Amino acid sequence: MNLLDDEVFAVIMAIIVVGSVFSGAQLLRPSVTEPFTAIGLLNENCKIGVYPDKVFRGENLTLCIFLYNYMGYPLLMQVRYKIGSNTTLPANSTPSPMPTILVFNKLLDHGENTTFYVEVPIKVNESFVGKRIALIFELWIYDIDHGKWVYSGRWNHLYVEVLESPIP
Amino acid sequence: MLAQILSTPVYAVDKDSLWSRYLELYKRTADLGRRGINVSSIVDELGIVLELINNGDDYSLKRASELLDSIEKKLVSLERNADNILLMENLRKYSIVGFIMSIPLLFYLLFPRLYLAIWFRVRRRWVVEK
Repeated sequence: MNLLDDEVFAVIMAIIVVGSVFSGAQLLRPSVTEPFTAIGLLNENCKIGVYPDKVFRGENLTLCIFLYNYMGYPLLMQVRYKIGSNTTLPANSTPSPMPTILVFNKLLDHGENTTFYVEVPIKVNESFVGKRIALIFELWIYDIDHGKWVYSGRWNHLYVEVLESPIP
Repeated sequence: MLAQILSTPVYAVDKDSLWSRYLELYKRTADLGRRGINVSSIVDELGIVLELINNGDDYSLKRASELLDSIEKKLVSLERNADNILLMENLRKYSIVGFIMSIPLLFYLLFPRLYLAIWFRVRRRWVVEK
């Protein structure tokens, strides 16, 4: 095969032109086109699945939280732990109206993720024994433009049934 | 009495003011990050400070305060040089893009000559028979 043959050369040129335009465009495009954050709730072994479905009133439950930052800049994230029910769950635009019991702050660079253990108290009164509650974990982020925490619209919740704590 | 004096911390750092300072430094770091400057080393240090603040004991807060001082110095230096860093980064990026875009032209001009040169070099010991 003669590489200098007109047709062969034209094909090689076409491949090189397409390749170089594609490579150049990859370098010029913004590094983050769709920024997002993520929160995940994992079990006490930091795995998905086999979550506890029954808890004792007053106990400290161990779970694991996963966070991911793909916003294009370092992000100060806060996970707010609340206890609610199916009527007080957060939505995409509004957080749960229930009071915050615990907060966990994490700072993640762009593209970073972290998984960490949390010990959350089951702080409910006796009237909840035998009922189903929702352990709510909301993701808040620190808005550097306005200097305040804002709800990201992302949350996880886990339904558990409350049992009376065993007599020691 | 002596034991009491020795066990008293030299000075206590106010957690709220430390947290405000942390947020201010984080904001400046995030601003630089949004502009495209690599702030990963500062983010690592701010992450350590966050853990120390979460610990909440006097020693951790004092250590956090010292780390924030060092981070602030680095930030001031980065902010001062931010325009130059961005300029150099953009120059580097557009130089690479320019080189990649010129590959087809270079190939078009140089490849036939190179090919022929190699073609002749490979066959230079050939003997032509009549």
